[in-house]
Amino acid sequence: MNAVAQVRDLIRRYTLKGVLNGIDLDIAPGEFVALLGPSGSGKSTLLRALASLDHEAEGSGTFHVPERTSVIFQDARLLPWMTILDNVTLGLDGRAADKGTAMLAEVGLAGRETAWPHELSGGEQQRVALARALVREPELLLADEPFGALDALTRSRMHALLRRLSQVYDPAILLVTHDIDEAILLADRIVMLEDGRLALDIAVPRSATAEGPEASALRKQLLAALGPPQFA
Amino acid sequence: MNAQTEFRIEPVRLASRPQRRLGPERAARWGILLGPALLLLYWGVLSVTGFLDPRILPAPWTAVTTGIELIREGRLQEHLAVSTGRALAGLAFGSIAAVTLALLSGLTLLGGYVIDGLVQLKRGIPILALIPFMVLWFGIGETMKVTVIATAVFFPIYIQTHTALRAIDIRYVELAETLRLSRWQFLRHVVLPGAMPGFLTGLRFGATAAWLALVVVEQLNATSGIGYMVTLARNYAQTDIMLVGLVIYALLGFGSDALVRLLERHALRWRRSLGR
Repeated sequence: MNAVAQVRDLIRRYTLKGVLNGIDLDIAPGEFVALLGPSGSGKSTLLRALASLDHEAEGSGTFHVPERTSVIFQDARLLPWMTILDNVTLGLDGRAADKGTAMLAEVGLAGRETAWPHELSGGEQQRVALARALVREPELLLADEPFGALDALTRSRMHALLRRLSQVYDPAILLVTHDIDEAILLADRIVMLEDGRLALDIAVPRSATAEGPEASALRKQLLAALGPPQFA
Repeated sequence: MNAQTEFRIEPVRLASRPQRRLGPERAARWGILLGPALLLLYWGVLSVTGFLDPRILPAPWTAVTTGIELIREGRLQEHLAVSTGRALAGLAFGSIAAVTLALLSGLTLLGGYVIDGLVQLKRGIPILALIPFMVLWFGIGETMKVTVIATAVFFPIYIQTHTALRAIDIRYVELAETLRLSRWQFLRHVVLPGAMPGFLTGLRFGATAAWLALVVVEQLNATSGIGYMVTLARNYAQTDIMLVGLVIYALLGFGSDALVRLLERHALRWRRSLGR
């Protein structure tokens, strides 16, 4: 088995409602998987389960994630009482400062090491969060709609940044998103959740560009799978 | 030389709606002294005009001259050192106990059940009502005095620290889990800084409580300290010395509060808030 992350028959329940009803998923090393689904379909539940953040949930099934797993949330989640650099190296030993500084430069924040989080814009804060995730050299990166709160321009810059850095550091990535275009643009593979099950699992052809015919066919397929149009 | 034409663009406000600023403007550095200064002025005017009998309340400058006299005799600094020592010892013991117990009760279930319940119960008993028992248990020496002060300091610090600690955003706890912080790292980087604003608020109340308790214990049964000096003066109807004691208390309270606020400004410099 060479999957870096493996999920088998994962079931999660909150109160009475089943949110995940038996998920099977393998993620190969370095693979970029986008997880799509209508709101309430359990995307975040799956991600939180893999991040071991769902202490209160009932459920069964197994999953394996690597020791080095990083998480990026929708909010940057920087500790306001720590400088940017301390946020990036939080929990690492003292020798990590150089690596943290280098990583901040990688995300375009060279020279801002001693700034407080509140002095940064939303996009910059999310770049710090990205640096904090990557400085740990993760084998798996779990990202829960990390660009959802950003404006369109900032978001497309973050897409380019994530694409570049994911090629350099090559972690496997599971990206939760509700944005079909984002999924097509970034991912090697798109899986779709529906009623707590994986309803769709398709590879994105490498040649698919955002504007090409393959992408538009894919977009059509995903739109159809996301549900019938609300207004005819 | 090239002639430079100066263009000035006048700002045009498009909307006719007046701009509104809800937060106060930036505070002047010594603005806090205005109130005390006004009181001093009022008091001085009353004394000069003779409306205030010096046997009831001596003039403000009497406090200064008597104070200087007491310093020359060496009595004032001696009493002040003793009093400050007691207050600081009480403050130190009280804060250490308060922070330790707040952490225990905020971070562990059992601690929460045991400690917090007890503290809430004790909160209803005024500290002064405990003094007779304190005398019974610890005698009338320094131990009793410091214990009373420490107890008075304990409650505000415990309550504020505990409240702030419980209010730490759960998202930061999740973050700490995903970063695999150890318990110690979690305590040091998330819990302590998160509870810091509460602790400092508690420390301000605690410092005030320390001086209050000090006054009481020193007037009860002491042979040194500012409270003793005032009690002695009262027996001989030396209103000027009593006044000096009062002024010292005011200065100590004001000074310690300013000190804690200075500490606050440094420790919470990462915050942007309405008050500054």
